[in-house]
Amino acid sequence: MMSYVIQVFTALLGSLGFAIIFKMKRRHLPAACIGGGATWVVYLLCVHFGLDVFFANLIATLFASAYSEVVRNLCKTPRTVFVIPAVVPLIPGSSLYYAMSAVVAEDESLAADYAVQTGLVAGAIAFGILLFTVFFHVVHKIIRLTKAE
Amino acid sequence: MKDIEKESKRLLSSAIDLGSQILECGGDVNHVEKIINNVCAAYGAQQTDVFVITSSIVVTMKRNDDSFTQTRRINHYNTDFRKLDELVELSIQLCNSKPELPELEAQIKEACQKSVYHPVLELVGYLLASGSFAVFFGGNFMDGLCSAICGAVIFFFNKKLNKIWNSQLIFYLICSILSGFVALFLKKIGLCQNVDKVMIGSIMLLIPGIALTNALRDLFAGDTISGTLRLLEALIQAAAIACGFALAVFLGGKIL
Repeated sequence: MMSYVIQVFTALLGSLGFAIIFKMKRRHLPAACIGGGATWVVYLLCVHFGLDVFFANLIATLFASAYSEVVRNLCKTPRTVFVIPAVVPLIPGSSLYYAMSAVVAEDESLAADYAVQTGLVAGAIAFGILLFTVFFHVVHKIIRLTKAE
Repeated sequence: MKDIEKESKRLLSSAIDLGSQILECGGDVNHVEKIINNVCAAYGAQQTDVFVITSSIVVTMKRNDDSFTQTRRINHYNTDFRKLDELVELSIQLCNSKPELPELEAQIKEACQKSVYHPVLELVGYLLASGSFAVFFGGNFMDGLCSAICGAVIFFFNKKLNKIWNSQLIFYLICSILSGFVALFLKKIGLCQNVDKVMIGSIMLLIPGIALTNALRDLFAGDTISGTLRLLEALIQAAAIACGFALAVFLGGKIL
């Protein structure tokens, strides 16, 4: 339990760090920070309920996209800039590292495992963002069409 | 007659300035094309053909029955969401108010120069990001601290030396070798226990997350060329980072 708390807390701080690196406006920093923490909470919940790595990342990314869309409307920014700090905790930096270190240690099967995992997670994040964009476009069009009539 | 021609050239140049700045800050290709189109149209262009890929902008504008073409090469990216917001807002404003040309140039310049972040605060961002992700992936407090030191190295490298190389790839390679060595050195003098967590913290700083999401956005918007370019860029960049750290681990194991 304690490790989960630490993870969520450091995810919050890490997202804040990234929000600063990408030079977001100061008044947007708290929202960006919370986005990262909340995304990790969603991911942990997904894993807790027995989803595998791909679907857990997919759902967490969908959550991050939805969150950033909502916050963007509240903050009235012209574009979605919150999705990147929100997704940052999901980025497979550690499996990329372990794949590399397995290559150096000449352990090919382990390297392949980690490389596949890196690709899988990156794919899940990409797929999540795409899925949400498609969904959002469709909903947006439908709302606009019904309003026009 | 000459004056009108000169004016058109200046207008086109300003529009490209605006577009290239937005692209450099992390805007997507589709958006940049639209903005250049809008600005030119607002100033009375009959037709504007814009072609933007991640590394260059080509615009041909027809105004007063005369065509003008200008090209701009984009070499460096520097993600800056604050500037991006500001410039996009400015572009909407410009299309409505249509100020005189000198005023237009001044406004674009002003929006580019304002900065909300002091370099020290930016450094804090690097420290926070690398330090907390080292702990996030299971390191202890000292690992986080060491990773923050690596983050500081990357920050100074980024600030001082980024523009020396035309290729971002070399920059990422050298950056990852360097921070890998720093991590190994810190382990050597006994400051941290888990060198892997320290390195993961600095990997998170370098990983091309923005490039990947922008690639998807471009692909989805129908800009296949830019999308593929960015996707390939992101993949190669990830490979370069992995190679850099691998080299550091490999050599570091021999020397240290």
